[in-house]
Amino acid sequence: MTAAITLDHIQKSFNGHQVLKDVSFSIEPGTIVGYIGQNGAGKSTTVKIILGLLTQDAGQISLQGRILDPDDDSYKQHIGYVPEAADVFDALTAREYLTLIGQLYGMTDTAAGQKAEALAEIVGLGQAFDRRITSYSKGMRQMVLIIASLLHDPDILFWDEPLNGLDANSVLVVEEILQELRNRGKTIFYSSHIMDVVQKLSDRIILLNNGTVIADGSFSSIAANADTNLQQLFNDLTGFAEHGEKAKAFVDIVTEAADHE
Amino acid sequence: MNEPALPKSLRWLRHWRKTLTRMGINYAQFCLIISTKLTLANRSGRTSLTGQKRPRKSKRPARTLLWTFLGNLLIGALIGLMMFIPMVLFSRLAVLFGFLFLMFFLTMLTSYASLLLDPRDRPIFTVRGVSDRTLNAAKLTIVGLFLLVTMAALALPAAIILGLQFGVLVGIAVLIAAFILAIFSLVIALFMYMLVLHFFDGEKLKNILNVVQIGMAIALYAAGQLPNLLGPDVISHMNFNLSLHFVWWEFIAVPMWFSGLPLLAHGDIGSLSLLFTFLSLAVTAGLFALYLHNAGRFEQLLEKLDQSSDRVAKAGWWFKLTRRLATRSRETAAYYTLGWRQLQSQRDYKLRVYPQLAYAFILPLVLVASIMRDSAGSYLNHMVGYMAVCLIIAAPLAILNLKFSTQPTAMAVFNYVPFGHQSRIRQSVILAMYMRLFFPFIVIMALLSLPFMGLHAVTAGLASTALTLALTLAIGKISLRGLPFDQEFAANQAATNGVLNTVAVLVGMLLPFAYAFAGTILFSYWFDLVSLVIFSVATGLLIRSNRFA
Repeated sequence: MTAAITLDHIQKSFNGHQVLKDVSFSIEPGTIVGYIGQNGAGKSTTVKIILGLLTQDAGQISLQGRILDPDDDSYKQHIGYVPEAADVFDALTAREYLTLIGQLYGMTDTAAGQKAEALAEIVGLGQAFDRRITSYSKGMRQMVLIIASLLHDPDILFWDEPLNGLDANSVLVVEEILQELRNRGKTIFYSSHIMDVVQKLSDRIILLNNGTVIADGSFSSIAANADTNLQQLFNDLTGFAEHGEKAKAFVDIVTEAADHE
Repeated sequence: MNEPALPKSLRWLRHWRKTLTRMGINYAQFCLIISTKLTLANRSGRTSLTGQKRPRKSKRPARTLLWTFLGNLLIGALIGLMMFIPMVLFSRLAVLFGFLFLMFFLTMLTSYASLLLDPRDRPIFTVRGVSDRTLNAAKLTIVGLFLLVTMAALALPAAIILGLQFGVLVGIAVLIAAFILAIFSLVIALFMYMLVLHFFDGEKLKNILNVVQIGMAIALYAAGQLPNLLGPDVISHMNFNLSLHFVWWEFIAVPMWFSGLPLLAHGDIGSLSLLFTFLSLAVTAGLFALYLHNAGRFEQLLEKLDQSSDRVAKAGWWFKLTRRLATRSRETAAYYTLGWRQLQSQRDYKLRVYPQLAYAFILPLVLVASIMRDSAGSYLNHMVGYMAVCLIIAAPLAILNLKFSTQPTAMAVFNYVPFGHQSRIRQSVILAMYMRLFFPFIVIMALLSLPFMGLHAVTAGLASTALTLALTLAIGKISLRGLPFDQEFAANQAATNGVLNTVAVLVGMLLPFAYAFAGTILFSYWFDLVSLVIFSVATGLLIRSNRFA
C-alpha cells in the first residue's frame, strides 16, 4: 500500500539553530498518528514544511506516493489543516469565512455555504453562524477551524492542538469524529500536549525531541511496561523528572506576601 | 470554482483574466482574495473591551477610494500651482515629476509599506492551495488601486493646468506618464524590500528594513527641502529653462525620464524626448516583468518576518528617568511601560510615524539653517530656540497610530484586570510616546541653540516643552478614544494617514510658527516664563481631567 505521508531525512535550521536534525517516518493511510514533543521540539515546523509554508534545507517529502514539488500546489486539495493559532479573519461571519475556504478548495459558494452550515448545526454553531467570528468564544473559533479543515473532504488531516478551548462535550464529539474519519480511510496527523487523549486516540505515536525522532510506534510497543502511561513515558524519554520541585517553587512564589499598594 | 464577484471599482480586472491566468495566477482565487480583503478593510473597526466589534456603518470601498482621492488632491493642487511658474515646458515637467516621485514614494513608504510587508495572510491562504504568486498579485492589486488613485489625485491638477496651457494631448500624456511613474516607484520599492528580505534574517532583518525605510523617507524629505538650503543666490544663478539637448545628469535624475512622453505630445520630437520616453517605458516594463517573475518569492521571503526573536528588552536610563518624571503611581507607571514597550516593538508604528517625525525635525533645521545663512548676526537667530515647537506637526499622526497594533486582541487583558479608567491608560501611553519621540528632540534643539542664545535657550526649551506637551495631550484627548493598540491597521486607514499628514503639515504649522515668531520678536525671559506657566497649567489641567475621568 502507498504511504499517505513519507518524510525522508528532513532538516531545517533558523538563524543557524537546527530545529529539525534528521526527521524520517512513513505513515500508512487510515491511521491516527500522535505527533508529540516538548515546546520547540520542531512539531509545528514539520507540519509547516509539509504544508508548504516553509522549505526544508534537506530531505524529501511524499504525499500519497507523490514527491512534493514546491511549484505545484495541487496536493493541498487532499489536505485539511487545523493550525495551532486561530488563524481566521474574525471580521467575517462563520458563513463568510467557511464559504471563502470552501471556494479556495474549488467548491461553489452555495455548496460550501450549505455544507458548512450543516456541519456547524451539528456541532452547535448554528445560532452563531451568521455572527462575526470576533464575537466567538475560543471553543467556537476552534470548531470553525475544524470545519474549515474538513469542508472539502480531504484524505490527510494535519490537526495541531485541535482540542484547544473546546468544552468537555465538544472534546467527546471531536474524538468520535477523528475515529470515524480514520474508519473511513482518512489519515490523521495529530499534534497535542494532552497526553491522555493522544494515548487514547492514536494508532501510532511519534515522539520528537530536539529535532530528532526518539520514539516511533504504537503506545504498547514504545512503553517499557504495561503500568506506565504516555505522560510518564514522555517525561522519561525527554529526561524531565523535576516537575515536583518546579511546582513547589512556583507556588511558593505565588503565595509569598506580595507588596501591594 | 464559480467566479466570485469583484467590487465595482475593480470590475475592469475581468478584461485581464486571460493575461493573469497566463502569468500563473489563479483568477478565481485572485478575485476571491481581493473581495475578502476589501470586505475586511471596510469592516475594520474598534474592538471594545468585551471583545465585540462595535456596530458601525460600513464604508463602501468606493467611498474609501474617494476620500483617498480628495485628500491627495489637496497636495496635487499645490503641486499644480507650480505649473504657473514661467518656465519652458521641459523645466515644468522636470519639476512636476520630481515632486510626484517625492510625494508618491513617501506616501508609499509611510502609509502602504506595512500592508505590502504583511506576512499574516500566508498561513491562511497558502495551506489551502493558493500559490504565492496569486496571493502576491491580489495583495498588490489592492495596494496598487489605492496607490493609483493617490497618483491620479496628485497629478490631475497639474495635468489640467498643463493641458490648458499646452494642449489636451499634453495633459493626457502627463497623466499617463504619472501612472507609469507610479508603477516604476512601486516596483523599485518592492525590489528594495526583496533585497533586504533576501540578505537578512531575524531581528537584523527587521532593523535593516526599518533603517532602509526611514532612511529613504528622511532622504526624500531632505531632498525636498534642498531649494531652501541652496538659497536664493545659488538658485538665481541656475538656469531653469532646460534645453532639449543631452546633459549627462538628466539621465541619473530618473523622474525626468517621465517628461519624455508629454514632450512628445507637445510636438517636441527629438532624440532627448524619444530617449526619455523609451527609458521610462522600457525600464518600467523591464523591472515590472522581472518582479512578476519573482513575485511568488516575495511572499515566501515575508515568512522571515514572522520568525520569533530572542531579543531581550532592556530598561535604559532614559526610559527609567522619563517614567519617573511622567508618572505618579505604580498604576500609571505600568501603563507607561506598556506604551513604551509597544512603541519599541511595533515595527509598523515606526514605519508610519518616524518619517513624519523626521520631517517635523528636518523642517525647523532647514529653516534655521536658511535663516542663519541669510541673516547672520541678526535677531532672527533667536528663532533657533523656538523652532522645536514645529515637532507638533508630527503629533496627530503619532497619536492616531497609537490605536493600531499587530496584536490588538492582547489588549483584552483589560477585560479581566482591575484598572482605574481607560483615560489613564491613554494618557500614560501618550506621555510615553511624547517622552520617547518628542522630548529628546526638544532637548537637542535647546542644546544646539545654547551658543546663540545662552541662558535664553534653556527657558525657551522649557517653554517649548510645556507648549508641545500641552498640545500633544490636547490632541490625544480629542482624537484617541477607547484603549490604545486595540485595532488592526487596514488599507482604508492608510488613506486617512495620508490625508492627516497633509492637514497636519498645513494647519499644524500655523500655531508653532506664530509662537516661534512671537518668541523671536519679543525675545524676552518674560515671554518664556508666561508661556511656561500658561502651558504648564494647561498640561496639569489636562492630566488632572484624565485622572478623575
